Amino acid sequence: MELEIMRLKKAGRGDERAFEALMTPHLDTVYRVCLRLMGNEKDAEDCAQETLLRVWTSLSSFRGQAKFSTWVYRIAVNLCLDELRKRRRQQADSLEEMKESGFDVPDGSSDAQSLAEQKETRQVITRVLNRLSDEHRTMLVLRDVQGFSYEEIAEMLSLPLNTVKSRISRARSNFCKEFREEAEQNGDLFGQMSRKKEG
Amino acid sequence: MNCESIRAYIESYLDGTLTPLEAQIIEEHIKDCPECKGELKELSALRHGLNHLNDDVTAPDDLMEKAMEKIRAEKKRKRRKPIYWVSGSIAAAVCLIIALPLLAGGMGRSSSKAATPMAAPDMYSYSTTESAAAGIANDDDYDIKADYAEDEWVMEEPAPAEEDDKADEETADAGVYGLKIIRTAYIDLNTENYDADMEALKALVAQFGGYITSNQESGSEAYSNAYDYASRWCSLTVRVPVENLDAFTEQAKLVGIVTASGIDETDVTAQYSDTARQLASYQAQYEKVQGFMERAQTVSELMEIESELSRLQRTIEDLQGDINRWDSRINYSTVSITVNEVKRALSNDPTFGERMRISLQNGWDSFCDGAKNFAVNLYGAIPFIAAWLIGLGIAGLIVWLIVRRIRRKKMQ
Repeated sequence: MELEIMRLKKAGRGDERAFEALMTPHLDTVYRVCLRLMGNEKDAEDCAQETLLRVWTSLSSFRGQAKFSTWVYRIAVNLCLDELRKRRRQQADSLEEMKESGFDVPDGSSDAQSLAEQKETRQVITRVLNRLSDEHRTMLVLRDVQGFSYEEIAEMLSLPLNTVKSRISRARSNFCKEFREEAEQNGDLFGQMSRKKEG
Repeated sequence: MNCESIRAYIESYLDGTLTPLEAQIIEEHIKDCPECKGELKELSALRHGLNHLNDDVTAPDDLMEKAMEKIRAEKKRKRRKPIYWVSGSIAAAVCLIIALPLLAGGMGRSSSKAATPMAAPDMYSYSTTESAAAGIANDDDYDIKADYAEDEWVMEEPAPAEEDDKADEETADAGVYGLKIIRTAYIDLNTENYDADMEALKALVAQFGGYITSNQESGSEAYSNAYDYASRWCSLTVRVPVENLDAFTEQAKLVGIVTASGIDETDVTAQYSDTARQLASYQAQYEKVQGFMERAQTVSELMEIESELSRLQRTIEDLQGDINRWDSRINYSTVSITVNEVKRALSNDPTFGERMRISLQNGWDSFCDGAKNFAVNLYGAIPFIAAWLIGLGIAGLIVWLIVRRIRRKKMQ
């Protein structure tokens, strides 16, 4: 911990090696959070890089009021959510344009065919996860995928603890609902998963 | 308990946040209720799936490398800024240096300086300079500004103070370290009794516990006596304890006729306390890092800590040096005294009659000086004139001899 503080100060003064040593233990988690929030590897990598850059430039504003790791993940989460919001806006704009020009926009269910082929449970979960709202996906990724505590999540998202708890519970039930719909269309996924677990 | 209320607790059951009794109730219900059992299975399977979603995921190997490339690019971009800033301020400073004398041209001090009669430069009788105090002062100012500029982008230490707190902070500074004010003074004097007045000034410096750091004189007694023309000039830089500054300048002004004088005060409380605070925080940091030493486990950690310690030590010494220089400038005021030797000094508040009289006397003196100088120069030119006369005489003789010869030939 003390070593971390010293590296923090060195990195704050522009020492690149200290910065690398400081960030290495957190790279995997940063990348995983980005991957699950962004939904694909290319965007995850971009966001992870951007997170590191952002950490570097704002090291001076880190005052040690939170754990350093929590602060880093907070930056990653906020960066991903900003990016997603930005994209949604652009997507909405381009969708409007396409509709105006007479393009028939496909609905989500047309993916069902390819989904049926992907029997791998993880891929299904990923797919369902990506269909959730940003808010719910963030909650599930932080709590159930990455295993952060409620307190850490509250700190990362600057939300009251109770709000975090109720959002997580809503996100979970929403996820279940979506998953069941998926299962109905694609056979008994639950059965498969349960069997896997028991086995 | 009915199934609905049981299901409300299933999430908490999976989280492991129920009391043992509550958990027992759920488990007993599930034994007899296949529907709730199915629900629990589904949920726990999903939870399991989510928990292990990222098991095989690791960050790409080159993530750090690529991020560092971005960071270096960003660093370069940022580093360019201060260059603009520095060159901008240098340009501004140059403009100011050129403009200031022009603006101040009509004012007392600089005009009296400009009018100071300067003797030929090769007539400096002597010139001693111990450490030029004024020069050091300027260097200090520069260093401090450079430090600030650096802070802007390196972001050395915590918290750039918030604007709103600035005023409060300044009064607080004054409370902790006291008001820090650098006082300097200048006095320009005209004197009729140059030697006596210089002695008097030097005695005053000693009397008030000060010392002379620089003393430059031009013109010499021999020179002024030879031509009977008063033109000696002295620039004296002295340091006196700040508590004696007022008394010293009052006394020094009585020595000759004052043509210009003033006291400058520069409030450096903010800069001083900034430096002092930085020093304190570095010292605290030093002690803390020293504490790490015992807990270091590997040689590389130990070396890392030692290099950090020596860096902190250097910074602490630099800051302490800054503080010492501030203290020296604050505790001892610098006074620049210029003394001009004049033949007849006007009193501090001359009447019209006095001015007319002095003017006539000066005019007559100039005339006499001119006449005397002419005589002196003429006397000094005797060898040349003699040489000329001899040359002319020889030429005349030769011409006369030739003319006589021609006449004689004609006669024959």
